Amino acid sequence: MGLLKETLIAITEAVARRIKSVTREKLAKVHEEIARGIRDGKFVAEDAIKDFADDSQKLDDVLAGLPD
Amino acid sequence: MRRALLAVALAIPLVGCSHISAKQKAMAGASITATFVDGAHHIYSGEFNARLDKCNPGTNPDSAVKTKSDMQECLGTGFDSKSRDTIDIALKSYETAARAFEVAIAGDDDDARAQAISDLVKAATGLVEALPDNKLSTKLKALTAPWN
Repeated sequence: MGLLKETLIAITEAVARRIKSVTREKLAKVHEEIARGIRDGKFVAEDAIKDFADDSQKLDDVLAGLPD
Repeated sequence: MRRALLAVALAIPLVGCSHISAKQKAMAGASITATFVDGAHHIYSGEFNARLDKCNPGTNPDSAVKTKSDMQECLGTGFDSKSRDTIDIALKSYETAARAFEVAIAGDDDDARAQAISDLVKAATGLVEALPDNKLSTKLKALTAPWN
């Protein structure tokens, strides 16, 4: 019974280490993606402003050709 | 966009995780707002360009637009010049908040970081609300409630 118990404990500890290892890997990936999101926030804003300005220019060009 | 969606999908369940730091949770919130702003802007721009092409007599011979005011009316609320001025202001507010958040997240001041993410969420929500489609703003508010 002592050997069985020790074996079960060893297996349980090995499984726990594996779970922790997989979790760390997943967390590392999440951290990386979230860090990109933080940079993307600024770039999203810059891209959106540029695209918006381009669209506004299109409208202004059309309006310029129309009478009041 | 796909990468940002992945970030959101991974970030949301971790918000309640106890071993994720406050800094990382703030970054998750920023990631969510960036995803929504990016998506909302693209949807709006697509709709605007479609309306512009339809209303512009230069691109659509069947357009009844003859004057500047005809054009504004044809574009409709949310897409006319007045609406776009409002959206432009909201966009620039979001950019200001995003830049301020970038600075705050790099520092160690927890209060400044918390304020920065709150301001970013508020600016993103304000921008999405300024757009004609309200469904996205409802969703964004629900997802960013922890950071308000």
